[in-house]
Amino acid sequence: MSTIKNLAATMSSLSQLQGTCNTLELQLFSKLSKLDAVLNSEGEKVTEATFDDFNGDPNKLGKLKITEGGSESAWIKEVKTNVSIS
Amino acid sequence: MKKKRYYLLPALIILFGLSNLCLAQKNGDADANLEVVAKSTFITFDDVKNNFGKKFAQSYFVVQVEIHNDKLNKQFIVQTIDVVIDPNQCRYAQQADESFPRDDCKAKFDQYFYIINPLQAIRREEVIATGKADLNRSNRNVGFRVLAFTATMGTILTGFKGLIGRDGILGINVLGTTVSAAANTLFPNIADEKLENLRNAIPTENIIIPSKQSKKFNIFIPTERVFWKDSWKKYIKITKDSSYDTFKLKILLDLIMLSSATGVLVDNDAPKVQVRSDDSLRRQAEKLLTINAFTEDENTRARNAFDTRERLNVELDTPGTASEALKKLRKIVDALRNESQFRLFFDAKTVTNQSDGKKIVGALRELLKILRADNKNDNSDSIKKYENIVIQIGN
Repeated sequence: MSTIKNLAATMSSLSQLQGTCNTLELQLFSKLSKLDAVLNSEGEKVTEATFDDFNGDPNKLGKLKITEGGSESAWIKEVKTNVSIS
Repeated sequence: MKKKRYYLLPALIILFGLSNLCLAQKNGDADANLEVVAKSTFITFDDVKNNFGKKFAQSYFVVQVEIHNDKLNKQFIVQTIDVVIDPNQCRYAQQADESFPRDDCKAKFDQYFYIINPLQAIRREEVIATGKADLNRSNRNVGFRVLAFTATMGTILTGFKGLIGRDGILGINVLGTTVSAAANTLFPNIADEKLENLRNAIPTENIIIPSKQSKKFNIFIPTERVFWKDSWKKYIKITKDSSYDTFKLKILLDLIMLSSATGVLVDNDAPKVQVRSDDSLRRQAEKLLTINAFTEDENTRARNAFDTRERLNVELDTPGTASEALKKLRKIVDALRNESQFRLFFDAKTVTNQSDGKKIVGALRELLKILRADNKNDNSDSIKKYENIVIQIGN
């Protein structure tokens, strides 16, 4: 089962996006699996973050890194940016 | 992997059903319980061939749009009808139902259809194919990026009272004269009776759907706008010769093919309304809250609450610390149960200040997840309260 959260396109940096996603991992007790810069059905920019259920070591949650370049995408300062999750 | 495919179909079927349970309003209709609904499905190659001839069937993909007007006292005058093939439906379907196999849906879409840049964000208007017919033959709304139609060459709209049958045309007909003439030119050799079916489809009246009635419209979309070699082969196969893969293509088509109708409800101020076949899914997707960047305080508080809870969980397994950890967890439950918004959850889970430590940890994880996963309500205040209680009592 996955959980989808729409993140604001106004994230000021990759670091801010990373911090937000890490906090969501802790609160959802789930692992971030996908980031997708999309327009919602009203045409607004949102970064769609998909979190998958997690049954492993809790110490592994909240420690993801988001770096520039890669096959995922996110809005940073409303600019579409390719990113990768590790 | 193979097993995965078996639940794709039921999910698609259910979601197509959901997509047809829809209605919506635009442009200020005051009635929140609008009861005008658009549904769409496509007509099989065989049925199009039987009614309009083989050449016509080879040239046009036919989508049947049914508009229901369940209003008690208002007629609905149809002004435009649109059909789109929209890959976004896979995404919306997952947002409406988290267990929906979005990746399978997208893979199937990519197999049979084609979109120029799948990584680019896609607006609703930028869909792979569209069909449009309106009574004025206007060229507006033809700005669809990938495969646009023009009203004169692109589509033909006709209406039937019942399902398309062997007798061809029944009931109201709204096929434009321009297109009818074009059809004559393009297909001069089709059988007389089938050409007559098209000729008879010239509009003679406003398209009015009386109260508590429905009408069906058929939109003819040039096949080359929708299909390529492989998908065309599957589309034209009759059911008895169809493979499981062909069946999947047809189910996918039903999911991603949307229709909408715009018109006027005739009563008093005659508000303009629009109904769409994907409204149910779309409304679900629109409900997703947008999360702004968390502040450093929020990040730190979440981290502290998480670390505290998980530390207590580990301490439960250590003889020297188990007793103290259990005491703290039970106090946390007590404190949370004193908050009205959490009490119901703990009651439902039968978690009290006498519960087992592991059961309490499981419930604490689940409660926070429910609060954060909620896409309809902003639970920030409740989350803050939860985290503060865990931090204060757990340390």
